[in-house]
Amino acid sequence: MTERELFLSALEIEDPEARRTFLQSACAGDDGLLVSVEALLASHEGHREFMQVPAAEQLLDQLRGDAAMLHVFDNGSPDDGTCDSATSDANSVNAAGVRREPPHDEVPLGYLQPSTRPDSLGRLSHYEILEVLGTGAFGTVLKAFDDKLQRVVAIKVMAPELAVTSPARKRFLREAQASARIRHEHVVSVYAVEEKPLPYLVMEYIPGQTLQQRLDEVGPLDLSAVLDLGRQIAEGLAAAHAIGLIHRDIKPGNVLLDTGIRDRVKITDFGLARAADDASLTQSGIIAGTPMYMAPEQAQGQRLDQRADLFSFGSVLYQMVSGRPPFRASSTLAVMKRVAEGEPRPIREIIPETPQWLCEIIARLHAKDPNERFQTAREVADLLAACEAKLKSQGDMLDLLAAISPKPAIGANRRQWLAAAILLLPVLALILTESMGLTHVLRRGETEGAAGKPRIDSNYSKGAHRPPPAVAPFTPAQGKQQQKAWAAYLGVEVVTTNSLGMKLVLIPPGRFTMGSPDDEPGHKPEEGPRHEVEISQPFLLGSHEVTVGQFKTFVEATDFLTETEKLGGSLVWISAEARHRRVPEMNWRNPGYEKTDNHPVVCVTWNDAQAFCRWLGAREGRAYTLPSEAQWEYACRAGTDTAYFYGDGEDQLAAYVWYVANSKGLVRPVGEKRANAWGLHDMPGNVWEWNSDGYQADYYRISPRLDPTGGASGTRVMRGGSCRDTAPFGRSANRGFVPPDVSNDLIGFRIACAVKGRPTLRAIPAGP
Amino acid sequence: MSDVTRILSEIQAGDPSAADNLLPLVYDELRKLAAAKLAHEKPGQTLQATALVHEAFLRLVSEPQRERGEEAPHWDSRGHFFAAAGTAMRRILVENARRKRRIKHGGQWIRREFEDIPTGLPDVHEDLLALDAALERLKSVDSQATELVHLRYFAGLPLAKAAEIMGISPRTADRIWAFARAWLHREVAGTESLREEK
Repeated sequence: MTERELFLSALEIEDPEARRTFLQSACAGDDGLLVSVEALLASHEGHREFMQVPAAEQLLDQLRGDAAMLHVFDNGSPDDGTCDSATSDANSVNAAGVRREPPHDEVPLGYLQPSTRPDSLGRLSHYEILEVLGTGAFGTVLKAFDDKLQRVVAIKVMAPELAVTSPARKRFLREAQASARIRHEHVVSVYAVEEKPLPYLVMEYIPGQTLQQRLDEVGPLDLSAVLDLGRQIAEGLAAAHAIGLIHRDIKPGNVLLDTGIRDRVKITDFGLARAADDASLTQSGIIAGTPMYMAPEQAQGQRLDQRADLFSFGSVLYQMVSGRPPFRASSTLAVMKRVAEGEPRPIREIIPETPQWLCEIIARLHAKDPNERFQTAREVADLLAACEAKLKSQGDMLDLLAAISPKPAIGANRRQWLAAAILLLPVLALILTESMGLTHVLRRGETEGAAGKPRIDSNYSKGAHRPPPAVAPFTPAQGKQQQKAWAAYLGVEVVTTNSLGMKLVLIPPGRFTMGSPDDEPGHKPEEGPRHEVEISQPFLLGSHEVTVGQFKTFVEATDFLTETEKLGGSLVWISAEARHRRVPEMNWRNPGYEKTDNHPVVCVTWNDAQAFCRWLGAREGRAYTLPSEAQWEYACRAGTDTAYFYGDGEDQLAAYVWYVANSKGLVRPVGEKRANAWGLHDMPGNVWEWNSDGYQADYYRISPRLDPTGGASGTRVMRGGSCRDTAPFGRSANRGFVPPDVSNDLIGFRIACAVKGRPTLRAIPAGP
Repeated sequence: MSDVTRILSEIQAGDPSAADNLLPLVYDELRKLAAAKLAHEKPGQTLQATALVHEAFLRLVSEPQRERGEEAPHWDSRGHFFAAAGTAMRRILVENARRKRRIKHGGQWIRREFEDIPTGLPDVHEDLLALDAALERLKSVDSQATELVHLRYFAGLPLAKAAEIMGISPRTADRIWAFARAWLHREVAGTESLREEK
């Protein structure tokens, strides 16, 4: 089979595991081909914006003073119909009334009729379109004024490209009509469903934000908010279930919060996930939506009933309590496997103060077997209401236990559960009392130690004040000063040397702007949008890349055989054949150029780099990791917000960076170029460096502000560019990505490590 | 008969070299049109690549024919026209990107080949020079995919229309488009250092 046939056949297979199996057998041991096709699939799935808008149109649109043309399709391309989070994007903007991109004329609104109203973008039937609230793969969400009923509404218009396929169109109309039958205070009202000129539905306009945005903003919610919002969601679900509708895509992005005196929940997009599935499946064989909140029966493609929504609701509750979704993994496939088979991390490991009874409720929603779950949303709503009332009246929870525990009878599992619950009874009461009035927002890092009190480590200089975080931008002198202040506070040196003689530099915690602006020369779309990121913990970072000599110590101590060697050599791109080919004699011992022990080690895969970290960690009794992408960029910038870590133009680049103009294409020994303000050498240039994160092109749109750790993808981030790359690759924001089992002569790594006995830190307050 | 109409009928008559003659004419017209549009573009107006190409078609083929009282050309010849238009658009845009790079890197390299196109044109999100090179490679792997890219990305035709011109079903076009995009993206993005030739 040709590469094209392989790629297209693979797209037809929706089950990721089956797809992988197919590829492996079809490539019949030809690793180069396998990697090439997988790279195609990654490009296909990760870069829907690429070439989506004809080149000339981009120019014309930018000339209209609008640089954001491409982001029209920021969450998926209507053209190939593959809809990652098909609906949430549109809804988040719908809810918030916040648009991320400047308005209207970038969105094709050709279906609108001209209007006489000056503030109108055009008319759709008797609706004056006021603004574009957002777009997603599924279509466009518009804010409009209903002339007849004289009220503001939100209109969701199906993307023309989806509307051409008949099944998707029919499904959209059918589901929309069904959802219009739900009338409930916690469900977004659908006022009308129309078919022409394109299928669209008219619904209630909700100013506010989504639950997802709320969680991104404030982190885990306190107990009373969890119960309040949770009950409202359950009420809305109960109303829909009562007329036989399944939502199928309950997730924080589909829960709108009408923010008045108190938050009012409005669930949106009943059944639409299914219409999006239809469209994308027929067009590209890829399942729509994120699997993170799916029920196991959904992940396995089995028949669903309303209890699937209850599982997803359990995941939403879990995230409200702990701040993170329960089933996370590095790839879609792995997420689905977790959902189907894995148990989420116990909530109390994350937030120890969580009452056990709440954990039990969530666990019961998370039962893999629908028969083991609560059977109706009504039941859950009532239970949460009762908990809320008890909490308010300071009552005890004992009599609620009967409600939490499953009804007697049926299987043995249930009886076991009941027994466990009864055993827990006294504990539950105790925990509840302790958690009364618990209103603080828990953050990562505050959960160590008993009762949430920070653990004081004897390493810290007693009585020293915690220095302020390093909030960019700052000067090199300030950066050095912050390093010193933090070192003194933590009782460590700024630069320490580990057992391999590797120098580790202390990087203070702080805040910076990640990514690059659209007008930075060399900017690539995946470097945007720029967003504020907070690094909440100090950490140590290798001042240099790991060297051949250091890696040799590891190999000699363990007889480690690198993955590259196991796979039969590093991969090299052969342009003439337009594919990768393994070069058997090429590995870390022989990168294909003259090297010394002081050269950075290359021809190591991401997995090899991980193995090195594990070995060194075990040897020294501390946890070494690869830096996260955010840590890397933060450390590289060292307070700068310019294109390069020393400033803007390329004029000084040669003093700091080995790149194609000064390297003669050769990898050099580490540390020959000048360091940045924090004493880090060769961050950009010389060789690429593996980061810990999964690569996702649009990650910056969804990245949390606090300590982001990358997207849900098996493909890994690499940073820094190499001696064979051009100047723009030396920019601090430049991103690269490679599958984790690929290696070549230009990818190495440096290591990071938590500071021993680090203090627990409060999150840094948001900037002005 | 206009030059373009003549060439189109030669192509239809099966003369393969005729397509080469079509390109410079289409290119020239498009360049002029693009320059005019870019210079006079007003905020709020809509103008799309397809519109540009259609307008070029009208000016080069339809209008001269109507003036002479001839019938509008058959869609088949339109197909050839659009194929040429796609190629021409690619050249125009790539040349423009190249010129920008020269100005950026080479300082005062000022022999403007395209004085009629205003300088300071914004960038396309895709790296057009890299894309152009990748397209050359794609052509040797899959010329059909390259043709589709010309029609869709450079001439700005909707996928369904491009499919019609290429004589393939929309679904096939959808699939080829997915392949072409993924292939080109893989070439252009991210893994530059994986491509050192050995």
